[in-house]
Amino acid sequence: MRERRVADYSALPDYGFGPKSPMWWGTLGFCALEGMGFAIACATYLYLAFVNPEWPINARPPDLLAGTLVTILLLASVVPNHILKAAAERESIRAVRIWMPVMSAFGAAPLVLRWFEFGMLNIRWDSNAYGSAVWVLLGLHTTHLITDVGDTLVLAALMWTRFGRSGKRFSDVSDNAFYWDFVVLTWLPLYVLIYWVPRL
Amino acid sequence: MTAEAPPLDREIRDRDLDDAALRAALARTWATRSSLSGWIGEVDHKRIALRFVLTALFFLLLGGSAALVMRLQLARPESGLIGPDLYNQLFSMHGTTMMFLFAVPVMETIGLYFVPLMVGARQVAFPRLVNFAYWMFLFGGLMLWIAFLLNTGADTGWFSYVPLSSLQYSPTKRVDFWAQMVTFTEVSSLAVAVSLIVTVLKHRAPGMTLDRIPLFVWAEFVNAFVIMFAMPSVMIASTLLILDRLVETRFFETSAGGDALLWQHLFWFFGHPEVYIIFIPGTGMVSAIIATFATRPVFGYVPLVLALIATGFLSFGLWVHHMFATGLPKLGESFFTASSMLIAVPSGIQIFCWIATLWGGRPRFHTPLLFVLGFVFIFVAGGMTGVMVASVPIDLQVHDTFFVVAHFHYVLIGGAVFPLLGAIYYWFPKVTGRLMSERLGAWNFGLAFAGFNLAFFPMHILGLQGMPRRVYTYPAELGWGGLNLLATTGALMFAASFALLVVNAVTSYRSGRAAGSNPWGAGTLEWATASPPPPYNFALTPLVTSREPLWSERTALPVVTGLRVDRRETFVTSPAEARPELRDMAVEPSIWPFVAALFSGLTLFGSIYTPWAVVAGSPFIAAALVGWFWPKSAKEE
Amino acid sequence: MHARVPRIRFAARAKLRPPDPGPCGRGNCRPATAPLAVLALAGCSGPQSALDPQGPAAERIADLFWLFTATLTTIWLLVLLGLAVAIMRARRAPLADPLALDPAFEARARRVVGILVVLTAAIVAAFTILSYGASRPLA
Repeated sequence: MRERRVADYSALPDYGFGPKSPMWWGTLGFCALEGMGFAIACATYLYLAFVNPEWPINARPPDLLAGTLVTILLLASVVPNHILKAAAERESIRAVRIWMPVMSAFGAAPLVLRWFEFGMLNIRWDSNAYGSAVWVLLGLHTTHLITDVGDTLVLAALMWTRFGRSGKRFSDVSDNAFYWDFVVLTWLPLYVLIYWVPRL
Repeated sequence: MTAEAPPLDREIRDRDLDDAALRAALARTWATRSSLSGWIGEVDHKRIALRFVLTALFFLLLGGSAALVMRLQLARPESGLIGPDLYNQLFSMHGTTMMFLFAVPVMETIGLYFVPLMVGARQVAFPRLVNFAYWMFLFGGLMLWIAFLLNTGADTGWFSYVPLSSLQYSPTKRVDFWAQMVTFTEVSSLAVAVSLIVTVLKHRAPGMTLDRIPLFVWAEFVNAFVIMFAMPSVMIASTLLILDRLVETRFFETSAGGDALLWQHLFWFFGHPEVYIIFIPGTGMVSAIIATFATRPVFGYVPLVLALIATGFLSFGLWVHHMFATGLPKLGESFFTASSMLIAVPSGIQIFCWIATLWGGRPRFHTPLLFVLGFVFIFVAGGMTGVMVASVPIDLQVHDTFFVVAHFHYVLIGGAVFPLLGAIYYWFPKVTGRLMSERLGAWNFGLAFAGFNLAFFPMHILGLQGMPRRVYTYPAELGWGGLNLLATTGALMFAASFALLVVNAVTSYRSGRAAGSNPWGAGTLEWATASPPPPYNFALTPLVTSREPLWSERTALPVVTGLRVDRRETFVTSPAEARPELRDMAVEPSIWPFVAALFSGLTLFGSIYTPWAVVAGSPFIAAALVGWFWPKSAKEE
Repeated sequence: MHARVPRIRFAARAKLRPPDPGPCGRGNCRPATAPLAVLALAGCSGPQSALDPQGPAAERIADLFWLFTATLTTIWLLVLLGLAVAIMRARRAPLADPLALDPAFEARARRVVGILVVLTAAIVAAFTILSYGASRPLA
């Protein structure tokens, strides 16, 4: 087919932040499907709680200490996360190189506490359906944490190499920060389900 | 292609080149290296999609063969051709293969081939992810079938109800292979879905506003959302099942507070949308074929788009109608009866609009349109029996009988396979550059249509006479032998029609008539480029001014410039208005998605035997992912 | 065979050994020998048949079944009739411009499609209510 050239877009930038970037939409897509996975897992927990007259089944509710500390830590991490996000969108390589390791630490610390959380559930996964449900909820979120911390660490290392000074990398950092918000957000309903529903 | 391509040591823009030099430069920049690493690291959406489609058709052959063996066994009463254990494996492998390894992937990845072409994009979003998805799909499918060859085939049906599928009643590894295969294929479908959604939102050609998106693209787009919200449920379900079987969690164990119906809820929350995941792309194919062969735009574009979206939403409100026989609360059942009946409304809108299109058009009866007419005949019949089984009292009578088998084959083969066959005839010339034989095509259609109805119509009556599904044989006294023989005859005819399709495809690929870029005189953008399309799809990105650009721009297609040709660049546009926003860098081929899929596959395979496989495999997967995302050169920036 | 007893096969075995095979079993009902008789004999009686009701509740369901079948078959035939007429009535000569639509036809089609959609909704609503009514004695 014959063509006629009607417009030229040479002046467009070759990277962008937020909804301009396809990667942002891809991240949003993964948030949606993972969010759906969490919703299904929560529904499973509630379904089991509903069909069982006794909940928790043959167990004390989990101890609050480790889980609550994780919650506080995750909520607190939102502040440096947004400082990092703003730094990335300003394309300040110095600030990003400082805040990426900080965020890596904010990701790793809950993982340490998470180890103790499993111990404070006061039940094993194979004791009964209640035990299975809390272990799987906590396990799912732990997997989520591990993958995002891994991602953050790799990106932090990348920002210290020659590849760091590129618009696309800053956009990646911004999307990574956006994803961390999602990791924090998914924890909140899980925290309520695991620690407070058994106390109702 | 004889023109000299300009040297690569500087930024080169398409606007500075004449047509021949532009194509030469693009061919060099977008070509895949012809080496093993280039082959497994493919990022051209067309080549990956073609692999997906051919692999899915290969699984169709396997699943179809399983069906034929079952039909031969059932052809006469008390037949001793195969025993109950093999029969159990065959119907489970048939259902599992057709749903997970054939229908969903083939309908989704035809979109992977044509969505970018129809929206005027050079590449799909996240092509490496899509390549990863292909290898995951291949490994999962092969694993299931190799296990079957080693007498470890799934044998608890395609929905593997607990407690039958629990360790107590299924102590071998058969169910574990089934459950892990589910994880493989769902990861694959989800990855492709995200890629398609972002392609449609961000890679449409400038000017392709929401109301100019072709209906096939709308269908794939809506479908990708349904996949995104349905598949996580079955992944969770299969994971819980394997946890119950492997590390003794108690989700489905009633004696420990678990619940068997929980499995059915989780499964059907996915399983019902699954039916629409297969059917929605089929409607897109029908719309594309009808517009082209009625030689006019589809009547009722807006109602059709709204019907697609409504179908997508409603598909999540129907799952309980698979569970009417489990003794659910009365009011709940009525709700699900109502919602199941309601789905007839958007389906009706679509059928009426298509008939109106044909009525107001100038139909040309090529093979694709024949399959669409067959689709209306079969699918509407399946819809009618669907209304019947949506009614709780009728459902209780025919539940788990051949009536249901007949119903869902009418819906699925009518709603998806006939459009798919039409789509194969329709798009074959675009993919290969050659037209398929119309004479063989007509025979193919006739044989498929007659064979299908002969195979499946008698099953309605068998079901009403009380023949249960999933029995490996039946006594002669029940009088079911005649209709079963008829069904088997039809099944053989139906199978022969596929042999004819293969013959037609192979001979046409070798010596069919050359197609040219637009053999059918169609209106959408995939017909604007060469057949087969070059790796970069379009030398210059079209500027879209209407729904059928090739019909409204008869003299010359308006195009835009501005992309670099010394590296892989493509336009990124805004989601609603498709205003140009960025010149985005498309990725180069990479072997790391393959490596990541290989390690993921080994990990999932190992986890069938020990949970420690997850611990052992994770570092390897992580390393592969780092390799995947780590930039290799400054050029990739 | 190992210890498991798959649910389906178990259920099937129970169903497949009826105390009395019924008229079908005695060989006076051979559907395939006379294809035309297939539909007529669809109600082939016997302990397994859904179309051979043996009580008032089953009879109500059978009545509902036949009502559904009659209505839906009619609708199906009407859709096919519409399709056939559409194909036969449509103009044959290919036109140079596929975008040249007849406004009168478009307006008429909009009205007809609109009415058909409303009818579809009305029929499924009626069916929903009828199903609810017929399943009450089952509860």
